Amino acid sequence: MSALRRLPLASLRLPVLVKDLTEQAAQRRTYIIRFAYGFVLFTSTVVLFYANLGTGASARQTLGRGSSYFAILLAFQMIAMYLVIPLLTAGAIAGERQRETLVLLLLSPLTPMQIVLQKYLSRMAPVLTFVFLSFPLLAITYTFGGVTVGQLLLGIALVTFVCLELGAFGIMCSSWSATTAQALGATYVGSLLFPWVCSGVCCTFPVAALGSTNVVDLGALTSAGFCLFSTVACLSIAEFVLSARASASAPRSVPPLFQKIDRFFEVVNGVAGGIVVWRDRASLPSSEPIRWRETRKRTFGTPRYLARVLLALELPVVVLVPAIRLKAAPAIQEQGLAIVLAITWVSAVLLVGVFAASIVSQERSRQTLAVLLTAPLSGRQILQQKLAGVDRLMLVLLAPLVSFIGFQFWWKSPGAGRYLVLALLTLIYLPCVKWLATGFGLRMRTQLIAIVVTVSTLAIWTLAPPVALAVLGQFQLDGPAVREFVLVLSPLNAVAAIPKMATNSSGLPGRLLERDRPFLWHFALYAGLWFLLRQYCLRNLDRRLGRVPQPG
Amino acid sequence: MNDASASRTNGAPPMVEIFNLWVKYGSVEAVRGISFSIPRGGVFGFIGPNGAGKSSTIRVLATLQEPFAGWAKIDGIEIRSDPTRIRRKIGYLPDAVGLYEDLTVREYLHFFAAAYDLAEATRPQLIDDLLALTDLAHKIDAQVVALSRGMQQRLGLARVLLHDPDLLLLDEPASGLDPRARIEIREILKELARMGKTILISSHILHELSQLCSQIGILEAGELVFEGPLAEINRRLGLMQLVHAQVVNASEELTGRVRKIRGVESVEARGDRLSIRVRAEALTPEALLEELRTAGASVRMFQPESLELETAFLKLTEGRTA
Repeated sequence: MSALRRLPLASLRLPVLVKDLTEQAAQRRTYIIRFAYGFVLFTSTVVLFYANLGTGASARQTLGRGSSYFAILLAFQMIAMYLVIPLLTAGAIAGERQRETLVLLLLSPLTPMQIVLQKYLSRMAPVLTFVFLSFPLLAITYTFGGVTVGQLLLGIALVTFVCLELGAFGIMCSSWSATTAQALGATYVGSLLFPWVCSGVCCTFPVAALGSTNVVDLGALTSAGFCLFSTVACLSIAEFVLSARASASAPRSVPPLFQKIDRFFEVVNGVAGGIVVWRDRASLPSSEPIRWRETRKRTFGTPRYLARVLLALELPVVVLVPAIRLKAAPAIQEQGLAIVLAITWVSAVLLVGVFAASIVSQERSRQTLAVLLTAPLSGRQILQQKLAGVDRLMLVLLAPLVSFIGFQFWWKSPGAGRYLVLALLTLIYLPCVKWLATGFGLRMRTQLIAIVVTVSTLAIWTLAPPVALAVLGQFQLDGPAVREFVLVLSPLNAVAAIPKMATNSSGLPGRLLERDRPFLWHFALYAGLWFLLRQYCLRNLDRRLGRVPQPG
Repeated sequence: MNDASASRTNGAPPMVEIFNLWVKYGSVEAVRGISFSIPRGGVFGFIGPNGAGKSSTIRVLATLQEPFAGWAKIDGIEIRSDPTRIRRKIGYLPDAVGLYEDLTVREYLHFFAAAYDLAEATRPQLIDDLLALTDLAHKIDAQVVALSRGMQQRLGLARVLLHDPDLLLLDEPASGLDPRARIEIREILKELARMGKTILISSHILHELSQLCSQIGILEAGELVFEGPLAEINRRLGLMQLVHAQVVNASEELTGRVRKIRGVESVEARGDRLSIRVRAEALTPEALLEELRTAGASVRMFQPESLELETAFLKLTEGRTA
């Protein structure tokens, strides 16, 4: 810390920047993230180089491969930055707002632009260290040939510009949002929705992959210019909204949306003559108060709102699956079904993950847990009642998946046993996700951390086995047994295989065990995992919740 | 202690007993071997700077602190031996009240009535009574989130009283409240003390505690630097209490007679106003009023200032933190 104070930054009167950098330097996670990033980057590169060079290729054969390595490294950086920058920027200003310290900053002689810029620089400092980490590796790709100095500099410049742009966009979202979680969601979703944010990303990949020999390439220059322009624009907007939303309170985003829909339906209903399909009845808790609140008062627990979620998810399946099956060419049926299934799955898994991770961590964040824990309810009663809303949501989310399998069963009667396997898989995944997320929610101090850790774990769990298989493939180690093993590990492979199996009409019940052995292993593995996760969550629950356990 | 509570103490253990309590967070010792007890019906005020260990001690009694060393008993039951039974005996109001934003006042109280498994038939009347006590009857159908901070605190008090606990654990109940809300909370607590509830209350507002508590514990850096009745503090530190009086028949002679009253340290006269400094351990305000009348004073106004608890606090502590 004393070293930081000796930096010229202090004499430049950048108190917010110095404070943020000092805080970051004192946090263990700063070093963990930096080490993890460097480890993944360097390990992947070593595997990439070794897979290509360690297979006995001569020096002449490797000449010119630098361009493909260069493209892969730039792509890796882009994806990593896209994932990391929102995490780093989300809390920059929204965190100050949540801690109610933003008003104090605004009362100081600092101007809003100074605050925004210092916050921006404090977040860009670690981001740029991540970018710089890859420079030695990019230089190595240059030695393989196929990459010009111009391309190298251009690639580095574009990655840097995209980072600056994404960072500014993150700061803008943080300045607007009332909470860090809201800022995080807005940055991720916003950078996907607004193509101009991705302008640098769109241009960097072609530059890296196809190779532009000229540093002053017009498209690249335009892209860089646009990045800088949008960076300035985002920071200006951040400055503008900083004062206007200095004391913005945490919004409840879903209930107001549903209330607007309610009002809309009330107007429509007035025209239609007062038809009421579902009327909410006023009720008070009788014996299980937490279950009552979760299923009557929470947005995603109440039947009326769950019916809307069901409609939103079920309609695409009911419309698209028959359309693909009946209208699409046989060659693209499998692909079309896979896309529908993937979207349904990702939505279901994310919703269950986020809600299960929130049930305890939200009570902790909102400081309502301590009061609940002094009530004479057992830890198991508290958790199981809290999960009642998630269970309802899960049933609703299972409906489109069951419909999907139902359609296949209807059209493909020969492989009935196979559909049973698929149905079992469907039934086991979401409970696994529920208990995994609940476990994280029990451990983490805040709702945001619980959600981020849950979603990250689900992403690693799903993507790591296929990535590992691809790496093993580089070493020719992906034999049938290995492939089967990886299929067993990742839900992605099993889900992706469902449409393939559904469109394959040759399945016979008698050959089920031989052909679908990986699925049976998969089911057994996930059933075991479900049991272990559930036991983990329910064991020593009072201690995990944070109170004295009842002996015996 | 009032008569109602005194009658209940015969042969029964103290409501709270803590012996050699240690609470650690990693390498930080938040509470360092404190011991004290609170008799039934007593009002115990916990005073100490931030980080002194007040909340940690209260959390131990609320069964929310695990692990800890030493032992703590409530109504003779060691906390670790039967925490579920302890939870039925206590009402815990944390610093952050902990309200569900999506519920109304009625729903919030019914929620906790169900959590404490109270008879369903008695709940509406009980809730009405508690809302009347806390002056929230008119807000029964209001959203909890729409209540003012003071009202939320009173709702928190209504919640802790739902299951008629013997012991109330109140962690900074007056923090963040405006003067009116603080007075309202203080009056409710006085009423609860009159009803015979044992109360353990922590506060930074020493003036409030001096008007409410029968017993004071001063914590500093996890250690109990003083524990005992207020009068004991006054006696030990020789604290003075200032009393303002307006007498219709003020005169030099009367002032002289007042100076001679046992326990009066000094008298300052300005017109018909007397500022009387008395030794708190020797003369109570009630006794002084009686003595003034005996001395022939025709008293129009009599206003004792609160005891100098701030002075006691400053004398007993050194500003250390754990």
